[in-house]
Amino acid sequence: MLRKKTLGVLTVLVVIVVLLASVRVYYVRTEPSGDLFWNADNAYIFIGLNDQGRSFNYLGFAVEELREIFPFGASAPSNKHSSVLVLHVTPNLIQTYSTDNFWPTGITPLEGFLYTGDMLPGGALMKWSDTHFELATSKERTKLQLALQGSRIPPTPSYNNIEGWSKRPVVGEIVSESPTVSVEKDAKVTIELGGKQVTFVMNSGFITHKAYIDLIRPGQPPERIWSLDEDGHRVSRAEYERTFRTR
Amino acid sequence: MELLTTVSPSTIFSRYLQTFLGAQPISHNDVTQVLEGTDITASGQTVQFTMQGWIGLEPAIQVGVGQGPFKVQIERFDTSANTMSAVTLQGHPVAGWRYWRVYSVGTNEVVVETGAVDTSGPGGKNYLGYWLSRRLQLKFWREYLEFIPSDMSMSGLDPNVIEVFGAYPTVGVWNPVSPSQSDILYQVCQASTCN
Repeated sequence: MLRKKTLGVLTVLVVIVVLLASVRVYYVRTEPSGDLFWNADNAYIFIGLNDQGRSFNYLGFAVEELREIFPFGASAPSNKHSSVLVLHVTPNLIQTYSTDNFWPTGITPLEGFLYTGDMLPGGALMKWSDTHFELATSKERTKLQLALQGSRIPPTPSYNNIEGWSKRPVVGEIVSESPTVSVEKDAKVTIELGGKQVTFVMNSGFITHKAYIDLIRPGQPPERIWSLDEDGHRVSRAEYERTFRTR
Repeated sequence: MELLTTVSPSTIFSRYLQTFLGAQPISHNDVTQVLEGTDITASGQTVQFTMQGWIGLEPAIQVGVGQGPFKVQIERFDTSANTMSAVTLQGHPVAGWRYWRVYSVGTNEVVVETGAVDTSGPGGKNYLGYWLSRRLQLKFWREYLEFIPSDMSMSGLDPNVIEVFGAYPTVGVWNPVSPSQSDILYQVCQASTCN
């Protein structure tokens, strides 16, 4: 009788373990990196989006919970997907352009244009052309190389009026409230576009994992023109596969 | 890491090491990230690192308390030697020093190097995290270094850059025979013991 009971309990345990090992959960998180560029009439915010995915069975999920208690404990992503969002801002309009499967290097200004390389396999040096990226010519590539290797374009995260453009990173200021507690205070960048003042209020979400950009224009209420929750989110298998499908 | 490139060590130092670019979000580093826009210009500056978990901050679970942010302070910043170093600050899971430097070993041959003397931070959690994640720590710095030639090539800085495999591998080594601990500390603070 006792042997039968033990066998029953063992069977139930085995079924539970098999179930836990066979049912999967899917997590996606997105990390942004952004820069604001502007000239006399136009502002562009280039936001690189790095989608990272990881799926676990329930046993793996439990292990991950334990791992994330420890520093360096979180698992590396098993899937990645890159894209670029470009926000074009003038005093009167905001336009959004999205380019899929694109991992941008830093944006470099040269002779009034903005360039970036695509770091995905098969990528190349590209030029932003009002509404989209187009392949840079070999002449442009040579010019850019000379400019980058010289002192024409500083490697700093912020600058004013270089090759017709000014630049700020989409990031606030980290302020330490104690040796172990920090907050990211919003960065406020006020610029003049077409003779009108506009203000960008920016936070990268480094501490809170909630990134955003607000736009303040004279005579208009502040407007949140972009935001992103950078925490990992559980998604359905279909959504996971859609995100990481090779396009 | 050894590179064949026409780019000068000082350009590599200012573009990649001063900015920790290989750990900024743009690098897609899997392990750890620094704040976007980081730009070191003097010793005494602090740099914040964070490690993002998958499950950590989900309201129902709230166990992801080990992922930062963590701070280091720049101990040496020497543009004449294209070298900088940092010491970990209170709350960091690792206790110790690390340096980064770029130097030339021949015409158009540049070495980018990092080395550390460290142990776990105080407490059982840091001790376990440190010893369980040794592989991930090496992965972080390998990705950090390998981002440099990728970016140099694709950003247009040097489309012809070549990474030389062999004498200066990007795969890190724990407790190497060479350099010695005192050699590493010399790069950190130019003395055999550092603050």
